[in-house]
Amino acid sequence: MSIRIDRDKCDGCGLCAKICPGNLIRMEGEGKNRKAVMAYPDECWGCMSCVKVCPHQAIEYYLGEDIGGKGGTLQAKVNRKAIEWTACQKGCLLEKIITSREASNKY
Amino acid sequence: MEQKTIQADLLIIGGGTAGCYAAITAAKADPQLKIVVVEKADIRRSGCLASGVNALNAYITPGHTPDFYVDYAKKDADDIVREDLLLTLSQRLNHVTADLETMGVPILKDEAGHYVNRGPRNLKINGENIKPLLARATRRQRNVKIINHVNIVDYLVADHRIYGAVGFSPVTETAYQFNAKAVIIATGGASGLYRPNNPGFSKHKMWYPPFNTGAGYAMGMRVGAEMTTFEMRFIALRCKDTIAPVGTIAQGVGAKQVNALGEVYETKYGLKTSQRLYGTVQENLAGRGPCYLKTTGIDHQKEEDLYHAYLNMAPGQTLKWLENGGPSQQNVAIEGTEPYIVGGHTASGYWVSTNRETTIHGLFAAGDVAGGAPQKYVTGALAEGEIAAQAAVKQLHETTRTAPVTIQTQAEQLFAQAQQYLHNDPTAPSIRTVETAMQLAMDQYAGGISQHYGYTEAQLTTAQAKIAELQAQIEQAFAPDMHQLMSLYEVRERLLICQCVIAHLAARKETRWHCFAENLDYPDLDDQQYHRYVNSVYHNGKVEIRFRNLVKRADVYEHQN
Ligand SMILES: Cc1cc2nc3c(=O)[nH]c(=O)nc-3n(C[C@H](O)[C@H](O)[C@H](O)COP(=O)(O)OP(=O)(O)OC[C@H]3O[C@@H](n4cnc5c(N)ncnc54)[C@H](O)[C@@H]3O)c2cc1C
Ligand code: SF4
Ligand code: SF4
Repeated sequence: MSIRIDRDKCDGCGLCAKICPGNLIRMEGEGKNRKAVMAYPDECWGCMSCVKVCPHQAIEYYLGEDIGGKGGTLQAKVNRKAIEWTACQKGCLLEKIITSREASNKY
Repeated sequence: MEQKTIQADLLIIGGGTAGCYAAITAAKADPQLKIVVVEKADIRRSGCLASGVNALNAYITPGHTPDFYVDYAKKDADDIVREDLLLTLSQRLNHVTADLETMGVPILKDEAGHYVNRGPRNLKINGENIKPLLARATRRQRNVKIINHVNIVDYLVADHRIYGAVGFSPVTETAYQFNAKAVIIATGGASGLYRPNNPGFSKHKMWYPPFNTGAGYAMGMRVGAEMTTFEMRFIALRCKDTIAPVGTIAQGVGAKQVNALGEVYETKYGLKTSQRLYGTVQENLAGRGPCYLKTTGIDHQKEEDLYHAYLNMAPGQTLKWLENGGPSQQNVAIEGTEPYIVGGHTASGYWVSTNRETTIHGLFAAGDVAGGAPQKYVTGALAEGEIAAQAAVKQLHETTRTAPVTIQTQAEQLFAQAQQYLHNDPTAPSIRTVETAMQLAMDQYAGGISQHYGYTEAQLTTAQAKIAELQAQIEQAFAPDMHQLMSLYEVRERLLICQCVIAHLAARKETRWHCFAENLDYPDLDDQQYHRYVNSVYHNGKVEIRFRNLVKRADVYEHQN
């Protein structure tokens, strides 16, 4: 499992590179061409910290084929009260789930 | 390489659960102290709590006492625990929980305003945001300086007394020297010692953070700190492939562990942590695998609740269900992970006094890096952070000391060593090659997944020989940039921990805990010989074993030297 960064959506803010607990994302280029790059795709823990911190939903998460990934992706849009999760597969929406940040887990 | 020197009264290495809470505690205890937290990533999302946790696993629920918790942890580990450590942390579990709530962590309450427990020791929370909240509370302390993105590699120690530490940025060409009067080590446990469940592309899809590589253990070993119980490895029972926790499914929807024939087997082997795992291994060995959590038939609402719960702590599992069919249609396959060394779940780590001082004067340990107190989890790590910080502050008030001149020379030698790694021969075996070989050797000869966690003395001898070879190789490896320099140090420290694990496994000539330490030459319990701790000190390249008698609950343990 790992993440993919969409260059076109990335504005080079650098938040993801700062937050990754494994220091796996690198900022490359200058000015308008400054972009985040996943430098070590096979070292990702899958913690989603970068996905959640990105203000432009430029990062998506996927499962490697070796652990049953079938082209599905997960994205997150975070606000103070909730996280809106979007799971897609090959361009089609699988499911949208909203988790409250204030409510506890039922389990 | 640029060199920076940073002065602190109290240096905290590792801004995770225990480290952040230690910083908050020390700052409140003495607002004049200069406290520095140094972290290899960013404290907002580093360590075990990065993706969120699901519950608070250690809490004294109404009708129970701290002694109840000590009894539980002691029984689960078949007595090889430090009851003094367990008791002192258990006494603080509820007050650190209340503090977490004031930081903003949602804890489930009933209509009367009482916490809702999940079993006799757990609370239900929303733990997705726990780390950013803890980090914010840490940042609010005015006398705490946080330095993110510095990987600490070694202590500065003279005459068994600590004076600081040295580290490197994984991004820019910067070396750091920290000078401090007291140090708290809180770098967590060690993953990546053994070949993981998914050794290919998803090799870092493991339970324990792949970035907690045991720096704290290795640095301590190198300066001769005493370590305890490294033979009590922790192996988790997890959802296959995603390595997501199983407890939420088991307790949330009441799913039982069943084998491929659909038989419930957990009651057959016992309910201790190690027995649940052992049962699964045995069913597989008997040809009745794979094993599952029986979830088929749960209703739609329960399935949705599981999707939500996993998004808050292990989102990969939710994606896996969405891609491959949910738990109402398919049972969830389970498997054991590779072994980890983690003092928050089992008892491996620094040998500490009751106030969490290690055998190095002025160096305190808290959380997964500290030994003797298993089952501490999030709240236990916070509690230990608090104990260590209070003791460190007290010591700072009582003693003053100046660093001997040799400390500066030590720091310079460490910087020179890093330069050497950056200039080694690029054609030497790569860091990755050495890492893979280490994991394979541990897997095959020191009781990894492929061996169903069992090992023999003969195998351990082979493992030790292979690790020694790899230790020589890693010194020759080439680090082309600062990130790879960090990787090199990580493999180097894990090799040293492997050496310690092997020595401890060999020293406990009995099988007290199935799977965690499955000694095939000595398959039975031997209380006469081994109802005591296996400790060790690293000296002249060798791990020297020393046995110690069990410390009692009411004891206040202090080091003798
Ligand atoms: C996936 C997962 C889920 C869990 N779920 C739960 C749960 O639901 N409930 C529960 O009660 N417990 C849970 N636990 C256990 C609990 O989270 C841990 O026991 C506890 O957080 C450990 O705290 P720590 O401070 O020792 O380690 P950490 O919080 O991991 O802190 C260690 C810190 O040190 C840093 N570091 C490491 N090496 C260096 C270095 N060389 N230099 C500088 N910094 C360094 C790391 O980046 C990290 O920030 C879970 C653990 C994991 C891994
Ligand atoms: S998912 Fe986590 S480990 Fe992977 S790149 Fe993002 S922040 Fe880093
Ligand atoms: S957080 Fe998003 S926008 Fe910012 S650098 Fe990363 S990918 Fe680009």
